[in-house]
Amino acid sequence: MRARIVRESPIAKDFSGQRTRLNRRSSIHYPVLFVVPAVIIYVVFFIFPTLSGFYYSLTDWSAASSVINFVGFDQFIEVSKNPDFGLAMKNTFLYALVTTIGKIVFPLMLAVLLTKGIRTRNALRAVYFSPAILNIVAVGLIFQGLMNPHTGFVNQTLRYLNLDFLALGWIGDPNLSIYSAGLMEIWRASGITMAIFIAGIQNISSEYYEAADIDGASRWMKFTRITLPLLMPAITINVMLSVIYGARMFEGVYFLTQGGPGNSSEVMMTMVYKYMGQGLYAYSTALNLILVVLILVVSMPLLSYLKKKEVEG
Amino acid sequence: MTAKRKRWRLVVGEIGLWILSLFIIVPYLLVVLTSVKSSKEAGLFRLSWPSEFLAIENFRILFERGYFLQGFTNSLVVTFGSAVIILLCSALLSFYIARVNTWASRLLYRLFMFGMVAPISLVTTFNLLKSFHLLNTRLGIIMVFAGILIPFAMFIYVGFIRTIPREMDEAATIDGCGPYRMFALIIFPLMKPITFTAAILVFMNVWNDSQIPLFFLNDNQYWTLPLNIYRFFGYFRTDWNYIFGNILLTTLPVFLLYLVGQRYMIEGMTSGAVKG
Repeated sequence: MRARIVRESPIAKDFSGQRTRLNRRSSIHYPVLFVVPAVIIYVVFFIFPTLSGFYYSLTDWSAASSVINFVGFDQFIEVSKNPDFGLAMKNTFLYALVTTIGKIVFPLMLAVLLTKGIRTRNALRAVYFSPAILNIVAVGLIFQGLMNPHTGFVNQTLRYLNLDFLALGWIGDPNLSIYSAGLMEIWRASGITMAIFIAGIQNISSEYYEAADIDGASRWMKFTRITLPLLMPAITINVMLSVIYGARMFEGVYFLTQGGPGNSSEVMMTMVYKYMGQGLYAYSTALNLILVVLILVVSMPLLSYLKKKEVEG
Repeated sequence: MTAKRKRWRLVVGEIGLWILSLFIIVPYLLVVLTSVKSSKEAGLFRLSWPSEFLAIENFRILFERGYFLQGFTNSLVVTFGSAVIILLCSALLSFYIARVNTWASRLLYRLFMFGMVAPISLVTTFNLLKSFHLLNTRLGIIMVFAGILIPFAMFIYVGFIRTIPREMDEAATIDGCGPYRMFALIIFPLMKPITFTAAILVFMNVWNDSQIPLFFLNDNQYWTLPLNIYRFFGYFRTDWNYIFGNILLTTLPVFLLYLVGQRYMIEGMTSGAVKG
């Protein structure tokens, strides 16, 4: 009886809370051994290869010779002289930009509509998410069938509908191939960002909207003044993931166009792979390293910018 | 009046969304229909009913030349192996990171976060596997997958473990549990729901991945199912009935899993973003 009273008084609670905190420091021991397996695997198979890239990119390592010489920044100078490098950089940037815009704008609209009390919303969500569970080789080959300029399904349908002017070259047109790859990624991965947006919208308390209704706010006002600001964390994470994922994309380009036609849709990772196949190891490593640094440089300021937006919202 | 108008608007939106979903459904239909056509008809890529229904003939070719059993075995071995290593290692790691609040622990967290951002370093990883004699082995790519995915699993584990009260640890310690027994008997069982989510994350990433096997397995007898499609495409470049048939058979198991456990799959694939 007395014990219960003591426990219920706020002072006693405070006191006991402090005591457990003290106990915690002294009695519970979390052995460092817990982190050892993960750290060994991660450091050996991820960090070490990444860091040793810094060394190898300064050498002349290649399949042609068994001796590795230190050559300073020669590989990077070679890279900067290669016209394909500029193209790959431009394509990587375009791909990341196009897929990020597509994977934000379109799924955001879907998410707003699919949280509005439509009867078949669950079935619709399931359909829109479903491309994300397919592997990219399958998606790439399906899109080769869809986007082939001559026999592809898309152009045939457009011609059938007398919309010949829209029957573009898609993956056959050097000016369009990288956008075609971007389109495929938007088709494939929009469901993922949509699901993240839906989760975010469902977390917004309905009281905000009720209050807005009382004030007579229009639907557009409710979207821009309530939904968008409160969805900022979800937008942050989706932009980050899309930019990073887009910048280091390999499969989504390789299995659709192989970097072609010619090298018109070559991105950084397909170029890294190409030069590795040619045995130019140091050269390939230098390209790889440029991409690592680029992604870090781009994603850090972007993250802090978007974090600031979060607070303001 | 306004309620009626609102309902009407919803119906219009619903119809619009179903029409829009044809962009997803029509390609699926195209794959299914093409897979039972003749090669000549398949090459036309028409959304039409097959004039000859060649299901048995086409699928016999697929099973004879598709290496499905080999691909499926490889996918199973690699996915299962990676999942065990990744889940065990990151559960232990995350428990330490979530509970110990020192600069070293925070640095560790940052170090692993780097792995969620940086792309894989191709040539040097290739060289590393070669020097360990792990090139062209399934164990080799399992380890590469572990290196890539431990950070992601850690990210969702740490968020979850912070919701398990420390009093659990204290109670276990007072009752005489050492740290290892505490983890095995008390903490790890409590982590079951998030382990399930992390397992789906690992499964979807490893099962569907095609670049790691392409980079580090020159020998196609170890290729997993996605690359198996690609090998098949190399044999039958113009026979789209076989290619789409292969795609259909390869993706069908994942699709069936999706129909059964859609909710869990979506949760697993978006968990990193939602929980973070």
